[in-house]
Amino acid sequence: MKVDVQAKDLIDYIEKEFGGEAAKTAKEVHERGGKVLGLVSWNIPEEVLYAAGVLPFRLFGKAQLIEKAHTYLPSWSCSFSRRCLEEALSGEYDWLDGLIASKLEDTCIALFYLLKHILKPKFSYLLQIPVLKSELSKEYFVKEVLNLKNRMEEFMGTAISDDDLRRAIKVYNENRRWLKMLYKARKREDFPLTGADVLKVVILSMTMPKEEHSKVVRKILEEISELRARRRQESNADKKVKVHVSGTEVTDLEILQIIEDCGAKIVSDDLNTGTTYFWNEVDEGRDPYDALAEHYLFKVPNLLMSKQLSRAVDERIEYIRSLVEEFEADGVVFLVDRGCEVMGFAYPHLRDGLRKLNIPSVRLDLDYPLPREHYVTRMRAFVEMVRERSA
Amino acid sequence: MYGIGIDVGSAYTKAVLARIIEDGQVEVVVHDVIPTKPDMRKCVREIFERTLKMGGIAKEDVRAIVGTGYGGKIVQLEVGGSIASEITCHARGAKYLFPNCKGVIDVGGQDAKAIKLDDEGRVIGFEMNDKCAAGTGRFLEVMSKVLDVGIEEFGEIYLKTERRASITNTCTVFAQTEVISLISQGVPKEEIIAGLIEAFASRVAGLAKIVGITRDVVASGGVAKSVGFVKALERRLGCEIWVPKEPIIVGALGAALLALK
Amino acid sequence: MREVPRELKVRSWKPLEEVRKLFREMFQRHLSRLMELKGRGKPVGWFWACSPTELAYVFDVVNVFPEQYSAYCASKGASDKLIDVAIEYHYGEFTCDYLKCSIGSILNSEIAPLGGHCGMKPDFVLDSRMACYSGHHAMSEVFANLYSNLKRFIIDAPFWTEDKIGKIEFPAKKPEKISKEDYDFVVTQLWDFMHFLEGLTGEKLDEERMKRVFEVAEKTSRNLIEIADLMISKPTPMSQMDYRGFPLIGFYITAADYALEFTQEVLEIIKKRVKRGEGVAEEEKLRLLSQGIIPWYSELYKYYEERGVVFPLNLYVEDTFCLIESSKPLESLVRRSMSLWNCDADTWIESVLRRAKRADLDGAILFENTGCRLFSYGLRRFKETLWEGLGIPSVIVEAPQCDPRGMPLERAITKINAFIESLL
Repeated sequence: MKVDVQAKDLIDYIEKEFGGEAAKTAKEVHERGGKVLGLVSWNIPEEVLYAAGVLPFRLFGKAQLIEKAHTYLPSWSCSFSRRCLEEALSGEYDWLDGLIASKLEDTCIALFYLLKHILKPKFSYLLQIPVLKSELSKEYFVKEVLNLKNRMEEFMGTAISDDDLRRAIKVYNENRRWLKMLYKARKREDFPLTGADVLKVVILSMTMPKEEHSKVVRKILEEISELRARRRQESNADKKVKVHVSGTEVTDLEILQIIEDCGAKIVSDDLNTGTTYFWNEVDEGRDPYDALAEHYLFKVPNLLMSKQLSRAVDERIEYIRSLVEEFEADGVVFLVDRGCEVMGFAYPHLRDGLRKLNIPSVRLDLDYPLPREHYVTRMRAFVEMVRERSA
Repeated sequence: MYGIGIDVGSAYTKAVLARIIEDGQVEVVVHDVIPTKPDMRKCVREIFERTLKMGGIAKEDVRAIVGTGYGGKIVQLEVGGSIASEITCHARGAKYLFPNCKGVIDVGGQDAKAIKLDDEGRVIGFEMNDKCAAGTGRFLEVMSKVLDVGIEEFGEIYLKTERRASITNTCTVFAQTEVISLISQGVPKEEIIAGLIEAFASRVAGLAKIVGITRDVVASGGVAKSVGFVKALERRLGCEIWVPKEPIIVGALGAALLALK
Repeated sequence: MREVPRELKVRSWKPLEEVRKLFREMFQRHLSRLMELKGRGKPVGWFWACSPTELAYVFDVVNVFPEQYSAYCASKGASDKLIDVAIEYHYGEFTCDYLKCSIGSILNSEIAPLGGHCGMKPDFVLDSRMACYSGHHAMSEVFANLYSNLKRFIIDAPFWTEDKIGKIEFPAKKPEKISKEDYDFVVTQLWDFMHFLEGLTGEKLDEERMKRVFEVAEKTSRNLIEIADLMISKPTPMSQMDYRGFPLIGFYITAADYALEFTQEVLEIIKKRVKRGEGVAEEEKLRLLSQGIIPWYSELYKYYEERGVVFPLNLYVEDTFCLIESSKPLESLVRRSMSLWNCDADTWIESVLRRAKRADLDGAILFENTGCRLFSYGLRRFKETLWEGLGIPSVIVEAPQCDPRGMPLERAITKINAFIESLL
């Protein structure tokens, strides 16, 4: 790869070398005889799949116009479930070898069973992940991770040793570190990638072979260093307002582009398709089942799980606050899908919690196709307001 | 030294010509309002030329132009200058007219906004209503057609009518269905209209409450001219609301002030 | 050959007035219990459907039900304002109606029935993830955010897949199997909850009392299941306008003496009616299945029963029942979480189809509850199953359970009438 390539070309390079549309890469794996399992939920212990030699492929769906999904789903369903179903009904997921979901959230459970009904996969599994963060839950979950491993062994016809699992954890942790490094690189003024670019990189991690993806991120970081060394300082008449993006499953690059077109620079997020996926590492010093249960139950920032007698929202607000502080964000942009239950319940408390901390926020209601003017009006007003505050 | 602010809304395009006078104060010279036409560029050009003419000045006398509103970009394309958000502009305009202003409630054709200001007049929070909700000029237009009563009469009817029908404020389509149902049940039109103003005001007041506006509030936008609406809003918020003589030009005024900054 | 009338004529409608009267009396006794316990300084708990509500009677705590409160608000025509309050505060428009109503009653208690706060401010909420995530777990979190001193106690049950429990007998909720692991997981949490209640009330668990409470619960639950079986008779003996009150008992108060007495009396009344061959409609033109949470503000059932269209099988109401076995109280509480919402469809569908066959049905009305993903996402599939499995056609009607604006009666009737015409 040439050293004087532009920042934009970095992303185009990823697209070209690694299959562009995520499905192409995963499909290639399948065509070469590999097994690919579609993940309907987030927060699944993928390391177990990796150890079995299976590629975990997070389902998102990219359709903007929904036609077929309405035969099954009501109009108020979230765009994530609608798009996944649209893909399934259009035959885009026929090649998957199976499906995995978890019981964390109703939409995913219901979607999982719908997809099962349509795709009739040879393999499917619903992971019993607890919602209560406790020692009892962890004991239960350790056994559940073991269950998952046993099912994978049956499915693949191979044995999975503890060492296989440890190796998988190492590979995943490495990927987590690279992604975290990429995010930390955003702290610099001259970071050349846009918010949309970075989102693309994270989503690719959820859909392509982990080791390959780590190489991608590593290359990007190397290129960024080179670009910095040769870059002239750009002067900006108006300094960009730094924002942290909050939400659940955001896969639309366009909304992030709109945000950054309005004078904002995205510096961090707490999306399921962002930092929560990789921010903390699995403990490599313990028994791998224990480590995985500990990680997915306690260490992944999660609005759906709480400790006994306490509130998940408090933990999330603290998580947002810590990122806002670390990345010196001036404010938070909430991306709320109209049909998203999780945000539907949590948003007012997140907003109020941030207000108590004096962190300004703005809410963008996601609706597809995206009504651009709607977002531009709000973002511009927010950017001006934040600029005035710091003036 | 002149500055022009042009606020292109979905229903009306407004312009304000202002200038700086001796002691650094700003003075409003003229203002103008014309209906927004589909050819927005022509509309902007028209109001710009009218404003220059009314002010007796030439284009070269204008130091800066700021466009805002739904068609703010069109202003920039047609006559140059920069763009500012309606939120900032309404805040500036309201603060100029009422120096003690701590909050602004603006009800336009397409949306409603509640804006909170600090003591210096800077925006510290804002809330805009959802796409379909009541609380916009459009809501009242739709109901006006259903009831076959002019919007201008709504406010008066509200003030005169004791009983108010209970009507939803979260969805214009729902509300329309409810109104039709009420009509078929024989509920008097006046009660329905009073109920609509109530629903409208509660929606708008709801925005204000979320943002934390409790006093020293200015109302702007065409709907603010309606005494009935303002009264309903005052009842909901529990405080007095200040209404400028020309509430519809507040945004353009703020834009002109920004132009002169 | 059926005659093909162009429209259904109104005929004599014979609901059981006695049942209605008894229900009101029972509900008054329930409210009296709440007031009396509150007066004695007992802690107030908020409970959800499918949760171990019998324990409220073991420990004598005040048991309040936000979902039932919301249904009450809807039936009194007070729910829409409360829902709007929640939406204005930016809770999701398409979240569960029970959430929006409850929140409205908290944020704006002056306009809410019974003083708002779902009837009584809570000291604790039993956050049971034993039916749905959103309805119960997420809502409990919201309440914990709105009431700063609220103790939020979580119990988490597995999602019961066919792998885990095999097939399940509906409505008794008897599975083919439960693994020791799953059983221990839930039962340990039930014990944790009981210790929590001990701490809150300052009283140790009284095992004798627990035995008595569960004996009452068993009898009540058996009565309910027998009533459900009698509803399938031809003609169906009770109006859905009365039957729709039974989830209150099935979900929440099986352990109450007043519930046992009510069900005993009603069972006798219904048995007699069935013996006489008497039904709620003078002449049954059509027998339909009803699925989905009943739109509480609506008189739809009455409208159709008056016209000879009856509902012998109401899956939603039946799903609130569960056979409580006093010899195995904790296992019964575990089985309670095996409702339609917390099981995969394959576990219960066979049992449901068998019941539907016995009920001799002509069609089905499926209420698509706005905001309820677990119900609504699976509804079209259920429609296909009814057709393929039993040749029963269905109509899906959009019906938020508490917001009357989502299902104006005329609109629903137009759609259902068109469906009915195709059946006649």
